[in-house]
Amino acid sequence: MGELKDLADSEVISRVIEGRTDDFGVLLDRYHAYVFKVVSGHVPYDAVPDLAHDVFVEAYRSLTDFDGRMPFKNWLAGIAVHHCYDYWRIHYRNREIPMSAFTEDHRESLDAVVASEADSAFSRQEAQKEAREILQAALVGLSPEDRMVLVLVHFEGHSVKEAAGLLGWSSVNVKVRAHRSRAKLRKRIADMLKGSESR
Amino acid sequence: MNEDRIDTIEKALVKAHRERPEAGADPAWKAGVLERVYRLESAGTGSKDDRAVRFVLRFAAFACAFAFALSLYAFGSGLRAEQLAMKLLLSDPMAAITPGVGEL
Repeated sequence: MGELKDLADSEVISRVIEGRTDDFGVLLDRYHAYVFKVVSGHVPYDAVPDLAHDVFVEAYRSLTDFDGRMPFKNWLAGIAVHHCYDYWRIHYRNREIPMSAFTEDHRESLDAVVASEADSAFSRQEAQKEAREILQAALVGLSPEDRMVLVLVHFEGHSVKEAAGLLGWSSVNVKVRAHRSRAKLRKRIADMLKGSESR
Repeated sequence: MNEDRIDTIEKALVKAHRERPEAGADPAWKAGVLERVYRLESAGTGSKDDRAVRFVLRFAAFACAFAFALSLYAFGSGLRAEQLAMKLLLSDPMAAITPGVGEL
């Protein structure tokens, strides 16, 4: 295995395709953290391990489709993004979440951020968890398509072209959705703030 | 609603998202993936068989579509295919394909 670690991705992939299934473990070691990072940006934390598992199995099944025109990491990211999109297509249910579902901790977090006027208010570890929960609540009601584009473009910082490439959609479609979904997010935040003020 | 306040919340959420802690994979997770990959390999559904499977499925779909189109043509042309086939197999083929000649 010490020799394998020095091989390029393309060489490892060739070995796996030739039948050396064990060598797939090298790709797993190299990219599992990256795939976890990508997936955790889109789905709830408790769904990450299973989804990441499916991503690598799909990658193994599709290895013969990898033509080397892009880095393996990027190709893997595309598979991960598609699985996240499928996750939300399956789990897309309630369009609204009542404000009463927010805990007092969430409201206090929002108040603290507004009061400090600092974007670092969520820097504490426990506050980060609340921030993620607030974000998930804010994204409820967005279609899977809008959600994916919003997270990729606005939260992850991908360009419209990069996001379109990952999703396999047109740049025009992604651009329109990016603008629209951000407007929806901001409206959602405004509703949260109104709910916080009306206490 | 003060847009500045919304901006602050939005930026804070983006920052928290980008600084989220990394979720790590434990050895059991990796073992689970490899186990599934080995099962795929032993079941013959590994990566190198996928192209063959896809070719067969696509060819089968094309063959079915062609057969369906041919059936539509046969019905539309008024050919009584079953009767024609019976005559060809059981009796004089020439009589079957040239009705009326045998009466001459």
